[in-house]
Amino acid sequence: MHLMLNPLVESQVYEIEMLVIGLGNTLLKDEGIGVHVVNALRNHPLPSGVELIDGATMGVDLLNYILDSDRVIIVDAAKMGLKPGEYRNFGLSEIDMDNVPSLSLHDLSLPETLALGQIIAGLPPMVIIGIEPETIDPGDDLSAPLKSSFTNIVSHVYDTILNFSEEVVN
Amino acid sequence: MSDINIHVHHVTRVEGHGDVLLNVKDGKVEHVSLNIVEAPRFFEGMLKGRSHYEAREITTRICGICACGHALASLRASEAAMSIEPSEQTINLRKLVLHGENLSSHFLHIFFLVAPDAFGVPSVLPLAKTHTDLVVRALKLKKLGNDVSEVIVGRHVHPITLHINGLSKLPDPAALKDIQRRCLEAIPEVEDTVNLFSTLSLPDFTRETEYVSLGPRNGSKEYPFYDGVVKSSEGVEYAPQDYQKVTNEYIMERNTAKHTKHKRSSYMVGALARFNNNYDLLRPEAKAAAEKLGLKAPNHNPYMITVAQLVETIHILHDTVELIQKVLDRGIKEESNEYKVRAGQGVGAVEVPRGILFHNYTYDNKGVIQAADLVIPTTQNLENIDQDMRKLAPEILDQPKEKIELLLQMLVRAYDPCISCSTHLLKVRFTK
Repeated sequence: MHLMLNPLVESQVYEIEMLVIGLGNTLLKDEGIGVHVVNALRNHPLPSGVELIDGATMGVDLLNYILDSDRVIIVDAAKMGLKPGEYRNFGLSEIDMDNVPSLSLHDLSLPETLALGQIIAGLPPMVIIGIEPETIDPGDDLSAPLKSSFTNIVSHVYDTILNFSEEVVN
Repeated sequence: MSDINIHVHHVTRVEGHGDVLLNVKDGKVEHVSLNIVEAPRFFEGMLKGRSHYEAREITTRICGICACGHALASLRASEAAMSIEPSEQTINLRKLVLHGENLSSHFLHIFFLVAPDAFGVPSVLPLAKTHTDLVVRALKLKKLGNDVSEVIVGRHVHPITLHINGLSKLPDPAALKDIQRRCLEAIPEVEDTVNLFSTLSLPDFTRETEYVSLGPRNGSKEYPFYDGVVKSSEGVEYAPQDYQKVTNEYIMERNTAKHTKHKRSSYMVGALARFNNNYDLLRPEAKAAAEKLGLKAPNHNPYMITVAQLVETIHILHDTVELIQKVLDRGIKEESNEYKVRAGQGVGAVEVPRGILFHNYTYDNKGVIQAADLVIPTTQNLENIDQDMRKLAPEILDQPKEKIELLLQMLVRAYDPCISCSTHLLKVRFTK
C-alpha cells in the first residue's frame, strides 16, 4: 500500500492498485511503442485493480496518476544499447540520474518528473520497461523489428503485470 | 576584451532541441542565434490523403501540451472548409476547453520553467525542496487547468470528445459546477502568486517589435482566444483565411524550421502579443494584476512574456467561472452533430498558450485532405528571438560568461518555445 498521501487532491477519492502507463508519441514511429503496447493490453484479461493509461507525451502531469497509485509500471521507448525490439525492466535506482541528458521535450522529462514526485510525496513501487527503438523518425507505424517483436513485448509487459514484485523495483 | 564563444546545446527547460550560439571577437558580437535542430515539419505530409474524421485525431498528437489547441484549430479548419457552423453550446464548451489548456500550460511555464531562474536555482527540483508549498500549489493549479479541459473532452492530453460540428459526449453539469467552484477557490491562490512575482525582478531589456494575435471580430468585447481576426500591432487586420499575408514563411540557413515576417523584419506571438494587442479587452481583475506586476501595454520586454501569462491566468479563471455559469443557465442539451462532407478549403486560427496557431486544409468532395499547412506559434517567434538576441548580446558583454549564457537561455525560455513537437524518448545509462 502506497501510504504517502497525494498532496495534489483535497481528499483521496480513489486509489489505483496498479497503474500501467504507456508513453510516447505515436507520430514518431517506435517512439510510440509504449502507447501501442498499452492499447494492445486492453484485449487481455487483466487482474482487477489494474488500470491502463495512454500517457502519450505527458510530462509532469503523470504525477497526477502516479501519486494516486499503489504500484506503477511505465512502458516507454528507451535507448539502452540493446537490439531494436529488445526490452529490459529496471527501477529508478538503476538509472544514472546525474547523467540523464535533459534533451527533453515537452515540460519536465520523465526522470525529472519522477524526481519531483519523490521530493514532494514519495513514489510508489515502480518498474520501468524500456523497449529499444530502431527509429523515431516521423511515421505512425512501428519499424519492422518492433513489429516482429510486438507480440513478445506485449507478453512480457503482461507477465510483468501478473508478477509485479516489489523487491525488484525502486 | 577577450573573445567569447558560447554554445549551449539543447537549452534545457525548453521543449525540444535548440542550440544557442554566441561568438564574440575583439569585443564585438560576430554571431548570435538560436539554431533549431528539430526534425523537419512532416505533419502536413502525414495529413495528406487522410479523411476528415482523422485530421483531428492525428494533429492532436503533435503536441502533448497544446493537444486541445491543435484539435480545435483542426476542427475549425475542417468546418471552414465544409461551411459548417457549430452551435453556440459547442462553441462555449470549446472555449472552456481552450481556457483549461492555456491555464495548464501557463502554470507549467510560470512555475516549472521560469520560476527556477527567478529564484536563482537550476531547475524545479531544488525549488521543490526549499519551496515545497509553492511547487505543490503549482501542481494543483496545473491540474485544475487540465481538469477544466478533461471534464469536457475526457482527457486533456489528446482529447476524445471533440469532433467536427459538436461533441461526442456532453459534460455532466455537476462536474462543471465543481470545476467552477475550484476555479473560484484558485483565484486567491493565483493572486497570491501575483504578489510573489511582483517582488521578483526579471532582466531589463527592451526591443520594440510587431505583435500578432487574434483580435476582436465585429466589435466583440471578448479577449479572443477561440475566434477573431488576425491582428497586427502595425494597424492591419486580416480574416484568418488570409493568414499567409502575415506569416510569409521563408527558409533560414542552418535551421530546419521556417521563419516568418510581416510588416517588420520579425514579429512576436503569444501572451505578451495578446496583452499588447488586446489589453482593453482584459477583465478588470487581470488589469489590476498587470498593474501590480508593473506590466503596461504596450510592453517591449520579451522577458515579460511570463508576466503576461500570469495576468492571463487571472483573466481566464474569472472568464471560466462566468462561461460555465452561462452554459449551465442555458441548460446542456443533446444536439445533432451530423454534417455534410463537401470539397473546400478552410483555415482555423486559435490562440494556444504560445501564440496564434493556424491549420489550413483543402478537402476533395469525399472529405479527403488534398493539402495541409500548419503554422505553429514557435515558428512565428523564431526570427523575433534571433533579433532579440542580436540586440541583447552587445548590451551584456561586460557580464561574466556564465551570466551572459544564463540571460540568453532565459530569453529563449521566456518565449516558451515548443521546438520538437514532440518526442519522449528516454536515454538510459545504467549504473549497474
